[in-house]
Amino acid sequence: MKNFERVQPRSWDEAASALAAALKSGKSAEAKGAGTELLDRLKEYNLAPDQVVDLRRLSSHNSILRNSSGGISIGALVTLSAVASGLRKDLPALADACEGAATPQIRNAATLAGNLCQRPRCWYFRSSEFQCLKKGGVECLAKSGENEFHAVFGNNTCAIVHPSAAGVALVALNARIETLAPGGGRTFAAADFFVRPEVDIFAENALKPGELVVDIHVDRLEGVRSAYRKIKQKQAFDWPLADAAVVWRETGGVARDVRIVIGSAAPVPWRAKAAEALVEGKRIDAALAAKAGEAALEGATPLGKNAYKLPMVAAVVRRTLLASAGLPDGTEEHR
Amino acid sequence: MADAPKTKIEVGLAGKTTVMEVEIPAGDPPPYKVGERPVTGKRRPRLDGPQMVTGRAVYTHDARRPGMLHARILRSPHAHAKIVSIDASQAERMPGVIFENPGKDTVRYHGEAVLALAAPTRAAAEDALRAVKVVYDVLPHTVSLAAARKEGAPLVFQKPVEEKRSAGDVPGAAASVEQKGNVRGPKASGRGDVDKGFAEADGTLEVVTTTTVQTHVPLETHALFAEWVGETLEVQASTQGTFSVRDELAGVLKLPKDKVIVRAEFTGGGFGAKFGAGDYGVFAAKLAKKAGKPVLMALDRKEEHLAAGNRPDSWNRVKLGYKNDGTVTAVDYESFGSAGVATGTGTGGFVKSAYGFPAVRVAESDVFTHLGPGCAMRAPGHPQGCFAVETALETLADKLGMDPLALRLKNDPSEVRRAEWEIGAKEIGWSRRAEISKSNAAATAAGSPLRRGLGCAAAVWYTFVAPGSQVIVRIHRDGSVEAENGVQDIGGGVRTPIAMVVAEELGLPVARVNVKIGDSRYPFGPASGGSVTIGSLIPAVRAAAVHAREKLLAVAQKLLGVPAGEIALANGVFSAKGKSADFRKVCSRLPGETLVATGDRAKDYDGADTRIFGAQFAEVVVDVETGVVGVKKVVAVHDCGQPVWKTGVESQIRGGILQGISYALFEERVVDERSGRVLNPNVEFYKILGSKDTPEIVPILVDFYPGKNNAHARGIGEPATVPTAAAVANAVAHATGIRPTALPITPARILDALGTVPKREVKA
Repeated sequence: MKNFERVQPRSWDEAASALAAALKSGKSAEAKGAGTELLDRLKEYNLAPDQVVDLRRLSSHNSILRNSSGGISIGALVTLSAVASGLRKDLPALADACEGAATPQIRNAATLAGNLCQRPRCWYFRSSEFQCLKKGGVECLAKSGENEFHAVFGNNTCAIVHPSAAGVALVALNARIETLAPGGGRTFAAADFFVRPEVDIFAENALKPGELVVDIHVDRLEGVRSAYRKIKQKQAFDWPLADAAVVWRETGGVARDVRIVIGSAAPVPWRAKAAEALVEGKRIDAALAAKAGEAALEGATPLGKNAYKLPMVAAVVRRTLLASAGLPDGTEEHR
Repeated sequence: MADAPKTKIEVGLAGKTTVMEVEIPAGDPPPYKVGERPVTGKRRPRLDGPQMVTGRAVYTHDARRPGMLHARILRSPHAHAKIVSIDASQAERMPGVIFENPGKDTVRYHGEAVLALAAPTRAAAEDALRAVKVVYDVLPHTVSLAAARKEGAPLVFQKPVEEKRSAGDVPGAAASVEQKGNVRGPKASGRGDVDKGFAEADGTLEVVTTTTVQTHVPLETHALFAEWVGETLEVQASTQGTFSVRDELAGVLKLPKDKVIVRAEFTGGGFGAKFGAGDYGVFAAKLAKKAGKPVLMALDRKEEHLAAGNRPDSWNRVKLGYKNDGTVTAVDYESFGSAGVATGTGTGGFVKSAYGFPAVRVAESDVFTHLGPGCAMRAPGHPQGCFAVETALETLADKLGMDPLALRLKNDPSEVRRAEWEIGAKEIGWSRRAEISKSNAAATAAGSPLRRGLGCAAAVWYTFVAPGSQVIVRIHRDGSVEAENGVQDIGGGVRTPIAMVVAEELGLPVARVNVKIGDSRYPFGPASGGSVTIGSLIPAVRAAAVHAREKLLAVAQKLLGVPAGEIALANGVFSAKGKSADFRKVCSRLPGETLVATGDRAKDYDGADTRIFGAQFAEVVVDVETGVVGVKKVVAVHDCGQPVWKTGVESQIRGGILQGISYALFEERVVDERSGRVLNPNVEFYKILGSKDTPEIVPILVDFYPGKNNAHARGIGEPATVPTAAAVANAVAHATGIRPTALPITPARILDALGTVPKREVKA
């Protein structure tokens, strides 16, 4: 990796100022949480910043807080394992998404904000030997190349899949993502935080250069049910081939405000709106879950080598819906 | 010359042994008798385990010296290119950077070495690499087995290529054969009258199987540390062959063997890829000479995948002639495989050796592609060949409506393997098979996603012996004991069995024996390839220990005044007729300061079968909605002669099974056809089995006396991994009704075979 200057701010404001100052002086600077993902890219020269601003040791935005109305705020620096162990009862979808990510060593270090901001794992994007669309090249190399782990939805411009499992759960939970920047922070709906390649080919989220995620807020919902499930080829450390988060409110025995979000399938966490519409206002049972799984495939545009993901998407949506309703999906024996 | 005296020994499975007359070489002790082994053959902790897990074991990657340099290799980003020019002027101006440029004009694979350099830190070396500007003229490439075979495919080599062999290859594999286009072959072999066998058959069937490239992925990547001390090159190597590294460096650098010292005390795995010094090692030695400083060359994970070896892919066609009772009458077998720019892809060993097929015809061809060189990998050719043949046998069983195990027994004359099938079938619960089929049918009817399956497959390997192994046992006047041999430990833990054998002969606790290995200044030891280490070394260890014991008994005879033949040595005490002396006391009376005894590896006795067998059974659960396969249990019944260190043998079996499951389900090198580049030279998308993918493993060793050497010693590293992938595939077939014919058995392949993958775009 290229030599860089490590900047250790004493506060978030100082961190934001440091990033702004670097930008202003024409230097490249990157913010670092645990650095688990940044390190990969530095080593591959996928990124060669002049400065790395280390947020890891800052003493705020590093815990989970509950407000008086039952809402939950998760600091940017909270680790994936802390989310998994701390929010299992409150937000099972988010806890499960964080619980199953990466490896225990990574989860113990990696931060939730870092997870949301990680770059795609596309092998054409990651390798310094390829010049793909995201790196200023003329085409998405995956679309005509090796695309077995790539997008089956929304892949017209660039076929990456967004790598954040937590993001899938947070979009389903309709979480809000709060940021900090010298000119003032913003708050995004999670779904607006992630942007499609058609909006910005060089980024996967709406953060401006130097803008930092500081908190993730989830409001309390009466009678909310949620679940997250994934399908992986390997059960130890592997990226999901398909995953899904489901959130709804139980009202009078039926599901309301249904949100079904598919992961590992599109450049952003992907709302399965046809499936949501199908489930809305109904009691979830095995037959409805199966139909919703099929409906979740609406709009799919598989590439040459990834159509196999479609039955997986149908299965994971079906299973996640059943899990959210506390119903068995037939795989219990295996787990 | 008069006939040498013959000795009667018991051979075969315990309880069913027969007497065989063998000629025991002069000076070699007679073999262990049945039941006669108080120390060896048992489980016990690994002697160097504490060193390894506390980080005190020094691997080559750990080598550090004041003022040392770190070397890196500039590698081709192209699959095939002419090197037009190299401009290193900017890098040359960086402090302390030195170069070694072999002056290549062409690169033939992504990751091929162009030049090497060294710098004071690894980061500085990395910066220097990036400052070197190479202009390439990119040439057309061919990177798939199928495409490279076609007429008109870009040629990898313009001239015929001779096969290079390493210590890990099956002896006899090298041969001069025809080369046309990118195809080198076929190389023909076999036995029996195949035409007659097909003429006598009631029917024939044919299957084609494919396997993909597997890379070795040792935890410690290839590495070599070089340091010149005067005119002597001192090396620490992460290697499977202390002496093969020495010999290669001496050869390439034109040095006498006594001017090259190689140490290899701890090696973080090799699996067949770490025999010689390699281009990286030669670079390190040359850079160290140029700089006058020590140099560490340690490959990174990407280089390891691209350029440090792999198991070639394969395409295998098996045609069986069979009788309606399940007896195979003839096999016609053809294989193509690509080792990239290297040779040695044949997969026909298994079909010739595993079963009792009366007639076998094999044709094997290498296909060159613009990809990194394949090399020996744990049982070269055999997991591929096993998958092909076992798939054909299961297909035949399906066709005839026979139990697949019954069909195997029809074709398996080996007494040892027949015992192994029986033990394994019982342990896995093979009799549940029909019941499992029923519950799978019920699950299908109910629309439930999980299916269960049982499968099995046979192992075969061979008793190769590396001649020339010699062991020295030294006993000092204070009673301390050393055993010396230059052999490396590649992870199997060879120190422990050496100590056990010496301890057994000298009546001492195992921990009393100080085993000194991994140094080319010690007596010659085998390279660890072909499962030869234990079989080659242990008889020499035992001979040395027996000779040491005889010398000690002579001292004890004087001390106790009792004839040596009547003195017993056990638990550290010499005793006879009520008199006794402890070990230290006898040692204190040694005539010299040190007692030195040597043991040579005598040649094998003639007679007994040299094959190593084995049978594995797998139980899997397949999720038919997602295509995900989970292996629940593997039962592995193996023969390993008389195991020396049972814990180590069982550990080797477990490792072989894990590697086999990983090969069956996960491992796959992905190549971008357009650029010819490998897309997953990492352990993120080159998927390797992890802890949660690990099943219950039941290793079982049959009690077997092969009767080839004084310790009935044999290897296990390779046979343990031969059948696993095939057994898993057969279990998947039982579970799903779909016969996997391609490895790895990915969810995509399963879903595709189940017909649940939409052919094209789903309509919005």
